[in-house]
Amino acid sequence: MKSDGKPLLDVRNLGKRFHEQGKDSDRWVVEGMSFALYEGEFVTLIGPSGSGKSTLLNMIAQIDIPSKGEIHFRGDVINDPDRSRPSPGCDGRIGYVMQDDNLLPWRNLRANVEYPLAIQGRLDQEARRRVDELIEAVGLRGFENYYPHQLSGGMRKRASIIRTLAYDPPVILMDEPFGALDAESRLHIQSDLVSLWQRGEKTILFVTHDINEAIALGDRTITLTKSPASVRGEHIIDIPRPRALDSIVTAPQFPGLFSRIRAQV
Amino acid sequence: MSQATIDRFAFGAVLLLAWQAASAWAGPESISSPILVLHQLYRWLIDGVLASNAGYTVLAAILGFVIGGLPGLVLPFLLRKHPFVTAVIDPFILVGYGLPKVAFIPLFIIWFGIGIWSKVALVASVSFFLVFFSTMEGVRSVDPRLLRMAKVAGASEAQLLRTVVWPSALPFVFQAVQVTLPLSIGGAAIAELISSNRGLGYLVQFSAANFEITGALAAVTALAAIVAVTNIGIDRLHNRLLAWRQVHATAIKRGSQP
Repeated sequence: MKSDGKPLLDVRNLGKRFHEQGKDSDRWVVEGMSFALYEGEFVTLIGPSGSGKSTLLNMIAQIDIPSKGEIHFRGDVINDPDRSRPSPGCDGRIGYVMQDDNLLPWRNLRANVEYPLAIQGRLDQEARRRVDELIEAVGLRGFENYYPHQLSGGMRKRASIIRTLAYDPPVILMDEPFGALDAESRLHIQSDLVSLWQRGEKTILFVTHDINEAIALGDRTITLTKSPASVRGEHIIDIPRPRALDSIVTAPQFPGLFSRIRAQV
Repeated sequence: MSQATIDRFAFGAVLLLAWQAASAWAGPESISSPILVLHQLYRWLIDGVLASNAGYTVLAAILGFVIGGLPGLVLPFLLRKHPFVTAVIDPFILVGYGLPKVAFIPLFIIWFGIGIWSKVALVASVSFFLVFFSTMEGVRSVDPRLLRMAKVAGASEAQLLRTVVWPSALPFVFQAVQVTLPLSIGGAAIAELISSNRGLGYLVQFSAANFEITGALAAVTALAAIVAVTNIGIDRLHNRLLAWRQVHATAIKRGSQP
């Protein structure tokens, strides 16, 4: 645990309300949400569906502006209600892997992975080497020239994850990225993700609705309340790494964690 | 050569034979014949009539297509970030699209004279709306999730247009070109029918006025040939620029779609 020192990302009393159609009242989707992420942590976030998890991530990624509260990154306010125009991705500091792989269908795998680097004008020799390494690390070598529709769902997912890792944002948000995958490729890609995370000193906030996944991947699991969402509880996942992801349920700490988290979801 | 191509040639040959037979039965002065038409085209080719008239029609078509099509292509990209402006001008463009442009030919002649510019004006007025609507549809059909991904990656509006909106809209732009370019050639010829002293449309009009069925049909045949060549050219370009979709289509055909 690296919870000593200053947080990397600090969410303070965050709230978001949307106007309800046909009603005068507004509906709070997120309210009074506070939590912190520390450098190098893998935090999983679990909550009932429709509990505003995506809205939360959109605010952290600066796609949405909060209705109240603040988000701090390394001590600076990066998003609050006074923001007139959000700058999504916070100048490449916050990566966001969404539910869909969102690969550009007219670019081949390699060009897709290089896309953010190209956009940011950082596609140099070294960046290309890094892309090569990442492609190799997730077993996509030999598929560089394939277009997205020629790849399987798991391969596309891997490509979308290394696309975000390639430009090296310190924080990566993941919104139920493996929801649509079959059990086999899901397990595969989870262990890929953990090994990529371990070599890169990344800070990851991973949203899921699967308790097993939350325990298997996280250093810490945050549970959310029903709408409007706020933090309900926090659980330190004290299962030592490296973990056997396929048999996480056999870890001695698992039953206790599972039932405590279960009770809050 | 594929089986389909061979069959097409065979079908074409049967049609030509039927035409030749009909001409022999009814007399060449009333419906002419493929051989007479070919002969006429050959004579025009030798004395330069074909080149100068076809060139005139094609020039009017291309000028009109570019002058009308280019704003029709650019405008939707500029309007993307201005939904309010789009909502205001939308009904006007819809009315403009629906107007029968041919009815404006007399006005175009008053405004632009009987020279090439009245033909260009007709073609431009047809091209603009067709290209505009198709491109607009393409710009609207961009997947918002791709846009969001690109924004988070740090893309500016110009980069979004170039790397996401333009490639998404390209198939629609192509569809517009596929429909509009042949119509432009036809449009130019129609304008020439009404008032001109040059062009393939003029040749049709002039020949028919003198009861020269062969001449009229030869000019129509030349028009058809130009349109066919244009279509082949567009198809080639389409296959090259949209190669990623081509692969897609083949994959689906083979049933290997994941």
